[in-house]
Amino acid sequence: MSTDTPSTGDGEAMTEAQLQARIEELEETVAGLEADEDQQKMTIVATQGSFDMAYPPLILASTAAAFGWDVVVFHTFWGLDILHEEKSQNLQLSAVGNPNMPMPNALAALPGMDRMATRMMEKRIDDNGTATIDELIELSLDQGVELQACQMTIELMDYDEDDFYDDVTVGVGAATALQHMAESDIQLLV
Amino acid sequence: MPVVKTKGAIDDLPEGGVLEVLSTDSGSMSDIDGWAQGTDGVELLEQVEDGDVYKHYVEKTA
Repeated sequence: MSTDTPSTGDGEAMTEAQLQARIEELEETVAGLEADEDQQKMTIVATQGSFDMAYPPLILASTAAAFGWDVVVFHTFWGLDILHEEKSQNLQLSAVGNPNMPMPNALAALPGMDRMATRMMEKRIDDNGTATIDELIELSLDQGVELQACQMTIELMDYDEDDFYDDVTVGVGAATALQHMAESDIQLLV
Repeated sequence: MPVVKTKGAIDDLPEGGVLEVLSTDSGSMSDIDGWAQGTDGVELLEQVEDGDVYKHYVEKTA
């Protein structure tokens, strides 16, 4: 580190007033940086739209928001259905290929069994007093979580902007998500 | 959910107000403690286990 007197671009030594001004400028910048550091940021990319997989992103997002974190959930592909007002009321759960569920695959693959598996899970959630997906979405939005709908997926699935809950952000894509991820302390893909 | 609902209720309180939270979630003892520690503007005053109900007293300090 140079021990020479700090100088202006001209090579002349800075006056005390100039140094003072420079110190103030730097102090402001540092304060700004420290303030940014204080608030935790989290980005979740939600790619799944089955009934069970709607929960992890919403629970994490709403809880993080309760801590005052800046949270964005970027819903893409099947995850977009969670933000679709109609479809999110009817997310399904399949027991096929799911060793965590007590239904043999051969049975689970029969017509109507997805509905049964979904109903079993819904009942469990109701009996336990666990929040519904509806409630979690509302809570998240109330707490200031930003729920983003992937524009590419909107077009791919032939959805319309009006199909989503109010306060859902549309017109955003992977680049926006990546930017937020780059600034975030925590990035999750579900 | 206790944490999220507590945060929502605390937001509506004036500064200095104390919120009584009643929960049947045994995880709430640790969760609400952790949340109060990690969040600005709130202080956990007391936690009481009353049979099946977990009571928490949170003050809004800011």
